[in-house]
Amino acid sequence: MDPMYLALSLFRRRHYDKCIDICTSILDKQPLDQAAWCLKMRALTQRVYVDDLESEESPQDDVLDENVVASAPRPGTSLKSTSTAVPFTALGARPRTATGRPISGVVRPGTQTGRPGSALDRLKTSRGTTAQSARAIRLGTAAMLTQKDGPFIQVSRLNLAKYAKIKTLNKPLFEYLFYHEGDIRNAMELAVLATQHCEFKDWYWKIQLAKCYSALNLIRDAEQQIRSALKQHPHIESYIRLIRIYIRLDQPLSAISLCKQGLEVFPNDVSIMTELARLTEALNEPQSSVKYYRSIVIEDAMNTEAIACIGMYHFYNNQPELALRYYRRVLSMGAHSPELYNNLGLCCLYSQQLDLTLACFQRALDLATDPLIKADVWYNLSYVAIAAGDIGLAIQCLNLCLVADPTHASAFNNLAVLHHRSGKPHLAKAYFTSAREHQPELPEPGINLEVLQDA
Amino acid sequence: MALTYEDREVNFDVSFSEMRLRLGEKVIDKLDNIEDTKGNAGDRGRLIITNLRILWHSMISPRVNLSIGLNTIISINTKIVNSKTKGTTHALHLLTISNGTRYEFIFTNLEQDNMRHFTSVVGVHKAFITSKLYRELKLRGGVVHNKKLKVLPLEQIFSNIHGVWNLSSDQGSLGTFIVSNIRFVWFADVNEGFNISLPYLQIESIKIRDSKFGNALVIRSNERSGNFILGFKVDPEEKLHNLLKELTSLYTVYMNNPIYGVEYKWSLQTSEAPQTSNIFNDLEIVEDPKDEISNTISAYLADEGHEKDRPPVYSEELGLAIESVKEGFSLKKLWEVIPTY
Repeated sequence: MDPMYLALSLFRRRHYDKCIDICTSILDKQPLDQAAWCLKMRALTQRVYVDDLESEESPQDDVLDENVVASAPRPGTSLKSTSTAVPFTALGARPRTATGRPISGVVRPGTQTGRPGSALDRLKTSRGTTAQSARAIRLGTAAMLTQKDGPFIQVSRLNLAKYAKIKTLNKPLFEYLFYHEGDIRNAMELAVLATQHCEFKDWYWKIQLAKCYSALNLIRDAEQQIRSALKQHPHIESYIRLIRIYIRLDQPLSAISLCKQGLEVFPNDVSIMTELARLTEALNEPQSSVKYYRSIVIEDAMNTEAIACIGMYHFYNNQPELALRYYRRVLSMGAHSPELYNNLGLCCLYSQQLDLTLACFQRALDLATDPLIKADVWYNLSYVAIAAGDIGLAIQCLNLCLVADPTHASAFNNLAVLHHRSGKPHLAKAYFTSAREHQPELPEPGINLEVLQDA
Repeated sequence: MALTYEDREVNFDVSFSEMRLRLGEKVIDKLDNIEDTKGNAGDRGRLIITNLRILWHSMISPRVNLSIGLNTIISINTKIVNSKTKGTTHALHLLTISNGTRYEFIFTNLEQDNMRHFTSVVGVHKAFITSKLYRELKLRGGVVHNKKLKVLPLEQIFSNIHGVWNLSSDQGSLGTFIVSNIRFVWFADVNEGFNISLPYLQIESIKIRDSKFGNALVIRSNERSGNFILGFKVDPEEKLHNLLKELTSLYTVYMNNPIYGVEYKWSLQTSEAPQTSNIFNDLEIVEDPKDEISNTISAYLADEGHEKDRPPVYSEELGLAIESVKEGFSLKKLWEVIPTY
């Protein structure tokens, strides 16, 4: 078979490593084969490609970021003021994350549940954080590691002006620079040259420029670029990027109105509706958020995020049977994660389906490889033990939870309550204190300590 | 004794006589400390991988056992379970289908960092899948190339007879008949894509019978490969008898020591797997009554309480063939998460 044909076919079937090898051998024979050069670039890019719409926040924005317009916005018009209105249910308040927002149904990179106030408070986002956008660093290094004979393209020796004029090469080269090398500045230079060359008629380049601007924290410039791109060609990705920019500017209401504009152009589009639902959830409006999630599910009945969020809403609104239906649906779609089995177990427990409860938790324990998740499963198992009236078992479960995650404030709090019940008030006090130290925002330990002091 | 079911069925709690190795069956790997997580969690057991099936039996009571034919396996997966405190354990997931029912098996190695149960199962299964020509009837396959038989690794060709008529169609077709130690192959001279390869394993009987074309060699294949009756004619008569003699003698030799064609070499042989035909050399054998009804089956069902698939029908709605929907359900109802009335 012709090697070029084979390489193309491998690229189509996403066997990127083999494709790169073949392209390398073609380039060894004919160093000036532009097609192979371009294909190798595409394969290298695709191999490390991360959807930057789902990328993580860089917390640096939060503290040293002056893009935000209002410093004291009215309630309900900003994502930064945490409101304390949490749905109270028969199961108690919906649990909250370290920063005081009610816990969400799906963890995704960029889940900002509350914003750290100072550099020291940057404890818990859904992943560990770095001082600058981690993606940019990671891509540059990860790509270098796998290549024995140095980088594929010497970026510093690249004649950007020449390549910006070649229509077939400039886009792959840009994406290579942006995603593979993580070299924002050169990518931006290429984008500027290319967009000049096509006389500002190509919306693609405007979006790429906006990507570079927002990576360099020039938010308003990015906004301009996307707006002009949208005038040329309405595209879902452009809408979502603009929405994200307004979220970074902390203007949720503009973002919401933009979502609605987007939905007029693309009726019932799932990704824009997801943005809308996430936004309203971040604004602490669970009812309207669930309404949007429902419309997502009507459109796309396989959307895990929407189904899980609806399930969680029902669970904390005292309808565990309904929640169980949603989580079982996710299960039948083929997801097998410890979190899912844990949620199924909890739903079974509260909807009195006791024959399945322990089986689900057993599965969750088997699958839990991350200590934090393991800790949460043990924490929830302690509730099963308490429901069965077995205080000794509950204490064991909570101890195991603390073994896996020594900073689990809720576990400290519950352990203290159980010890207090079994007549060890001093131990209880110590546990309450450490619970409060680990998570000052959690109301329960403080209240419990006051009760202890009054007694 | 031909193969009965070993490689194409899943059986539970079989009697010891059936746990014994068949003729030609070889133990490829034997592992202790394997737990059958799906059905007998907490039991230490032994996993025996042969060239036809995977056997597992509990160490405490060997009458608790499984026999999984290699032909039933649909997919093999590995999963990392249990977390840092215990060290990672790799579980082996097998999805199988036997008599229209899906079963799932999960085996966990109780020794830390031991991946052998996984590597050997995957390797043996690969070897089994790629050696189907040794064991199965193949019609119009790619077994002949440029008038020459593509010889299998363990195969020797004994004779090659030209001018053999195949009596399957009314006018008959002229072709070549090849006899080897594993199978016979006939292909038409005009079109070598028109061929048949039948291993002795699948042959029921070889006779000479009278037909409308005169005396002919009649070969019946057994039930497993569809009860075919094949007629061949050679002139003169003498040649026909010679062919019959050759075939029958090869057939009996083969049946006394079948070659299943599953070859597996250890790249890292840690310990010589003992080639004993008696698996239970260190266990007391207590013969149990054979026809006990067991309901262990239900513990291994891949989708709970689902025994048989319903027949496929054409769906007007989707324009595809779908499994017929249960009474009282509709596709719309099954798809929707939030019912619209």
